[in-house]
Amino acid sequence: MDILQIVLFGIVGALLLTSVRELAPQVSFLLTLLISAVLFLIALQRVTGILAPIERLAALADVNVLFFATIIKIIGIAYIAEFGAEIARDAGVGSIAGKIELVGKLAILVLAVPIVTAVVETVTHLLP
Amino acid sequence: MSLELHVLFQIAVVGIAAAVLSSLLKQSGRDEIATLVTISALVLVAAVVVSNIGHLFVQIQNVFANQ
Repeated sequence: MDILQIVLFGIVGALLLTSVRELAPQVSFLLTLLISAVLFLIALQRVTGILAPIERLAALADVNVLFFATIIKIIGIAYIAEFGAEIARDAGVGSIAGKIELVGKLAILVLAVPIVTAVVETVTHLLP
Repeated sequence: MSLELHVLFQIAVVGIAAAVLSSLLKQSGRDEIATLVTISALVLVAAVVVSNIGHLFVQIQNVFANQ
């Protein structure tokens, strides 16, 4: 039943925001920052529950640990980049949000290069 | 850090109180104290929010960066 708590937490936060917004706009931005941080923290606790079984499955299927670690890092980068971009967009600066997303995409690209090269190598080995 | 609703209410109260206080001070002619009050409220709220964000990022590092 804790999904109810989480949703109510968001609703109460949004309610507070409507009252704080016209009285103190800067504080309302910090309040949105806090609400999204708490909700992201709860989402993070869910993710940790997912990672352990996936890791076991990867070990079972003897996937190379390096690939699995980079995949996890990529998920982390996407996670944080999305958090920052949404906060910037919420503050009204869509351009900065776009820049944050660009940096996130580039970081993911950098991490994905070894995996892509490994795939291409295995494919070329298969070809006669 | 579980769902702390009271942190939310504290921040809202600080924001509203600062707004009311600063408008009160503006009416009674002390403008510089009004700006001081607003800025101090902002700093207080920012301190709380930054500590929570720091806690979130530490958690993220523990989850994603320890493989």
